[in-house]
Amino acid sequence: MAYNGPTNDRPAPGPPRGGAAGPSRGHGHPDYQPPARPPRAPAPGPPRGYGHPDYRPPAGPPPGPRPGPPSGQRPGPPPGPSRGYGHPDYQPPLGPPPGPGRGYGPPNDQPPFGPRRGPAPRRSSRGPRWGLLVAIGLIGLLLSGGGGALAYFMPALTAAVSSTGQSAGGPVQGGLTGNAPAALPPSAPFTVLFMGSDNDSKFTADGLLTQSMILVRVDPVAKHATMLSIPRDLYVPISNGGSNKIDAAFIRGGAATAMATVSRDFQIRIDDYVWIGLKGLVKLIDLVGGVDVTAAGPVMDDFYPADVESTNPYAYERVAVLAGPQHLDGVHAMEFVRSRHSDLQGDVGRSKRQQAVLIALRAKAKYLNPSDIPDLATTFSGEFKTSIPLTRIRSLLPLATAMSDPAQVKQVFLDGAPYYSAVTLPAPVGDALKPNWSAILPLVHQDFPA
Amino acid sequence: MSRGAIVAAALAFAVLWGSAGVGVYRLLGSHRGTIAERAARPGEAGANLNPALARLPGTIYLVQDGALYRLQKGRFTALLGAGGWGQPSLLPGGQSLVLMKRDPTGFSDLYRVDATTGHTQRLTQNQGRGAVQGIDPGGQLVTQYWAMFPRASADGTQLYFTTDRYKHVRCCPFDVTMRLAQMPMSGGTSTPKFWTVDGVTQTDTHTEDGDYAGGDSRPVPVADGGLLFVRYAYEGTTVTSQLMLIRQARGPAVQLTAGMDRCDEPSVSPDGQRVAMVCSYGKQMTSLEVAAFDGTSLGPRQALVTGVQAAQPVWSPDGTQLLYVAPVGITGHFQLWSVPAPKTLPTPLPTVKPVGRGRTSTPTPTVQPAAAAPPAAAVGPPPLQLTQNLDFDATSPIAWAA
Repeated sequence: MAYNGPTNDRPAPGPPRGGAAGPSRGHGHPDYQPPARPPRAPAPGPPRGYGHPDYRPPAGPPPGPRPGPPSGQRPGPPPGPSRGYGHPDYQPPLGPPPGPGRGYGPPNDQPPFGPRRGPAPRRSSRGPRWGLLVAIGLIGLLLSGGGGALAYFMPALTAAVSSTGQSAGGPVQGGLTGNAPAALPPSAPFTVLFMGSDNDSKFTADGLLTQSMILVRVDPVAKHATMLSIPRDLYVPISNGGSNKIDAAFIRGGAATAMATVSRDFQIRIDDYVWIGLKGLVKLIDLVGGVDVTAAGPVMDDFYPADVESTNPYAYERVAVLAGPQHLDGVHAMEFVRSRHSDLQGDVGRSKRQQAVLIALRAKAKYLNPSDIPDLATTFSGEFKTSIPLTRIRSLLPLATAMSDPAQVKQVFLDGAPYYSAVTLPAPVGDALKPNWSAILPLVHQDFPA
Repeated sequence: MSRGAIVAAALAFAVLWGSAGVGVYRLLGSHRGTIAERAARPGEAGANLNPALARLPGTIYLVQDGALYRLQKGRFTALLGAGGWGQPSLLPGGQSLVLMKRDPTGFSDLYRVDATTGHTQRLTQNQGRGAVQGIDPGGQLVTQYWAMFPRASADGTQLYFTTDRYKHVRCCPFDVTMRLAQMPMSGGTSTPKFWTVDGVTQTDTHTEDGDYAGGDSRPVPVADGGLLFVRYAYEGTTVTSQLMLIRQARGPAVQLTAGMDRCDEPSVSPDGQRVAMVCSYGKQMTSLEVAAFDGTSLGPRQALVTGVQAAQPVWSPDGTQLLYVAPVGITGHFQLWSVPAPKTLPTPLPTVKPVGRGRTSTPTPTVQPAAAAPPAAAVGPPPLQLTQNLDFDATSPIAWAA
């Protein structure tokens, strides 16, 4: 098919020349304006049609300047601004009728696409014009379909731009970004720091603690993951100066500082981070239809913060998540992972519940398909940030599907002594956990290499 | 071509292209995963039921989304609409039920319900009655209570349940420890009789501040007047659950399963000689297990179902099969399953030796040592899935009347 119409992305060489070799260019555009020169006389030689495959050489008299409509046909509009409709076979171009000065020329003018040199009988113009219309229609269909798809995925594209590929200074090793190779081969194991924050109205955007910090190391070849929960009250040196509870590193410099702090203190390499807000977690779990977990014991809390669906962010409520297997929606899953007043182990007990929900989420996430991405993006609006580029996320999705066996996930906890001891430090730190690095590091380095 | 035809053609194009754009948008939308698909309600037209459901004898009571449903001859009917209902249990004769109604503001009460008419009678009053100065920043939080897992005595005059009514708000308001309680079925008392306290101590003295693990829950009356129940406690830094037996209020409780096996949700067979339960062994998956019960101890457990999140086993009135719920498919909703119950089980070990807990040394049964994994599943007919797209409450026991 010679005619490519407006989809041809080759630059227009200038005013159209009828019968020129190659596709005609630019004629399909509604703003097309023909050259101001008069039509050329037919060139000798075989007629060169419009390029449409259905084009047939004309059988009638050669075209020429037509002073008026043939007998029996309605007269066309008078010459003037809307010239060009006078020909009885004239087909409207793509889009709305041309406005003043945008027609195909005088009433006796030929549509400018295609040759003008050869004979151009009436029939010769009808076939190509229908073909043009079909082509324009198809192109329009493609464009409008693409527009529909674009509109569908627009939230995902917006979120992808705003949430993924966040700058965190690159991988960190020993707390320094320059120490780690910038990029790993796709098959190499990698470590991601997952962080979760209470981000209700009690907190400002730049004043968030990371109540949950979980290191996840994934081996794509072995299809194995290891999860290590970091106690939020661990009193550690912060990478950009001073010491504090490790959950305060995020306040001191965002994700980059949190990554660098964990990397330096635990002496491990961290490649990327994922941060999720409280409401994002609720929405995500609801989006996947809830998660199935088995609660080892009841989680009952008389002073659970009622700061998600309450107008008072300082309010409390009583919650009771019962023991045993159950299907949790977003709100109840959040209660399950967030309550710590009711747990002898406090934050450590909570970390165990968080890992259980994370594993259950992974089990559900493998059933998501590309059409779910916009909902996912809407869900995560403002509640999710990661340094992992979108392309990398896409390449990791099959890995989530491949890791369906719970045995492929190892859970590691810093479970009290000898890993840390409780201390009370001067305000504003207060109660904290003093790490015993000589016990922590050997445990961590079993699964998270330095 | 006339101007009208041109306009018509332009309009046709506009409609065609607009339709194409909208069509692609909707087509993509229609391909979203069914992962969050809403479950059908029991009894509604879209409920997908196995015909075998009609062969279940008697009447079964289940809970979905806070509504109580009755299942008879394969047909579900709603007995109580959505309202926080759960944990139904039969009264002797099967004409009435006791169940829990959970209020979204953070308390629950027990009700007696006529199994035919659905008429309800409240038995407890657990709504808060004002704040505790300096303790209760939320208002009424520590003056309202939970009452859960009601069970009637064999003669129907007494009600056993789990509650946090006894609190230590002055010293340790964060500790919400459940304990076993008893009150007359007629209600009218604000002070139930406690069978256990704190799950740790035998007295009302709160000695284990912050030692919260859940406490004692799910009382099941047994033949000699004692209670089979579940104790949540710590072994080291690990939360465990185990089946326990207590013969009298405030008496010493003895363990029937090892804590690290994490057994829970006991159900005693109609003849009282077998106990079904689910055990998780610290994993997310559970196994449905049964063991012989001689009134004192359990025999070796036999697994009927493994590798799923099985919950809430209940015996058929004739003791030949068990119903339970377990999730199915990508939605994760819990469906109803049945599995044949073994007619014979290994008898409990005859050895009885003291395993003291409490102040007095009491003869207690030998407990099977903790296992890292469930026993191999018995070879027998596979479980039968009875529902397809419902969503039963997996924390709510199932009641099955003859």
